[in-house]
Amino acid sequence: MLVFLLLEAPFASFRPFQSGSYRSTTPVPSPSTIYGILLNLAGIEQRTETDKPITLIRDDLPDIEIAIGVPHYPEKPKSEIAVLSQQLHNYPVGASGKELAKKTYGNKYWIAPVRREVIVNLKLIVGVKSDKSLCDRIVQGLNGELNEPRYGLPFAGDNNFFFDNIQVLEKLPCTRWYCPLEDNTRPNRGICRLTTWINRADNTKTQIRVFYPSDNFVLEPPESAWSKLPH
Amino acid sequence: MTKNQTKLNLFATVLTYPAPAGNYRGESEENRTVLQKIVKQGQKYAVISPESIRNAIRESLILLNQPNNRTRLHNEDQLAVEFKEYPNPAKYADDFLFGYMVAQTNDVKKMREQSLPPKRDSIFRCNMAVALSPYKYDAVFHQSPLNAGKSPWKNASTSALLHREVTHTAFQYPFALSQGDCLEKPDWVRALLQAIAQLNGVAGGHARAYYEFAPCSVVARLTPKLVAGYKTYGFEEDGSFPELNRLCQRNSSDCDLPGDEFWIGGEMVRQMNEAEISRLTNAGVHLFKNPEQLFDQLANEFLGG
Repeated sequence: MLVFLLLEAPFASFRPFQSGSYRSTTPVPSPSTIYGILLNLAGIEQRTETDKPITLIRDDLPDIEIAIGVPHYPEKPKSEIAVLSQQLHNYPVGASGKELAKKTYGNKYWIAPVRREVIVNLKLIVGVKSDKSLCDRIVQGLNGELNEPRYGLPFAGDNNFFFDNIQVLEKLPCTRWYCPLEDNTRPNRGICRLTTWINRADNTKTQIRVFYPSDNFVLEPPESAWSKLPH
Repeated sequence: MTKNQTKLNLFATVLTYPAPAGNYRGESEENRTVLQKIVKQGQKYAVISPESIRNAIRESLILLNQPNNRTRLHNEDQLAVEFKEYPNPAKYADDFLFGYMVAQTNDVKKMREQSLPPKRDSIFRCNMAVALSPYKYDAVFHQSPLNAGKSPWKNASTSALLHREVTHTAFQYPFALSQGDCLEKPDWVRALLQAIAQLNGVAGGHARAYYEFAPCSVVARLTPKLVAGYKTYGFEEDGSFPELNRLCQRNSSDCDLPGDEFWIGGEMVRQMNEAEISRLTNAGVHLFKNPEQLFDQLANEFLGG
């Protein structure tokens, strides 16, 4: 079954793996991020035990094909990236402030200024291909019709940034779809590295691919825009 | 709560009163203290981070005598906080409401021995506060005096010129809570809503810029849906909220947003004309002239009276 969702958030940030004093955002969320959001909507727990230093992902999760695109809605406010300065709590590299560690009982004990990118007025189209039962469950979850325990609310990368709107689209707007850059693809503007699967136990096994937005705004996602998850 | 016990989610947007704001200085350029701003539709708007709002609520909860684990240390050589013990969401309101993360392996081990979860998501979701009026490149100038003569201390060797960006504006910020998360500790969540209804001390610079974050107006929705479904930054520069036009009776044939899920309070209700009050009342909207009363009754509905 095929479902298309429109997601809108006043603010969003999707951080690639990085450290240092400048924290960038990718222009769209990774397929693995969207996969997590879809499972959250469907009320499907993807974590194993949460009492370990690393929270692992279950290995019996459903198959979903995901396409991600940026729609053309001339009547809606334009999406832009802003940069903000903030004080960020972290664990320092080296011995800085080690005397403060004792006072925070394992919490992050160093506070330092960083610059963080934020997407303003995020608008996304997400294509979902999966079993009918899962697609139905995503829509039911979205409408609050799943009478099952769940926690939290869906958010746009940073858990402070929640969505204004997630709705099922009957009719697709013209959209630039993000496709993986294959060998011999000609150079494209707007490329970004997106995570197609995360391995939290061994990050060398995390899969990242280079994506680019299609040149033109089109209605249907091209075949190459679909990513199959989990890997 | 609805009859089938479906869990509700609370989405709310708070609008503050307008005042001169210079209270969040993220950085400096030479001697100019710069407001944090974002660009929206070609204009610059001052913003205040959700983290600074959360910090002010954390401090307010301490004043409201809620049990807290984390406190600020003000005498370290950098910004610093202190925990009384390992985070414990069953014992401390701040650990329960705002979450935490302990990642050091040895500490995680010790927490597991005490059956304490080493990390917890924040159940309080709060987005950035954004100015209602665009920044108009206003700045004020001051001069700090040289601390001289017989003074036993001085910070600098000369008097300094200070150049501070200010903006006269109200701010709006949305927040959200999921009932399923909150019913475990309803009293702490009630205190959280009380703190929001009288919020102050958000961000830095309060020695120079007193700016209250208590609500002038509030628009809230209690719904089983997982997203607000309306523009959460919906207040316009004149304090109006145009999306209220979408509210209607639940059983009307073309119902867009069911009015009985909405709670509206404060100045926008006090200034509403009779026709609009009558339209919204007929749609089942809960109207309050006073935002504190709105939060009290909303807490009863959301958490059980």
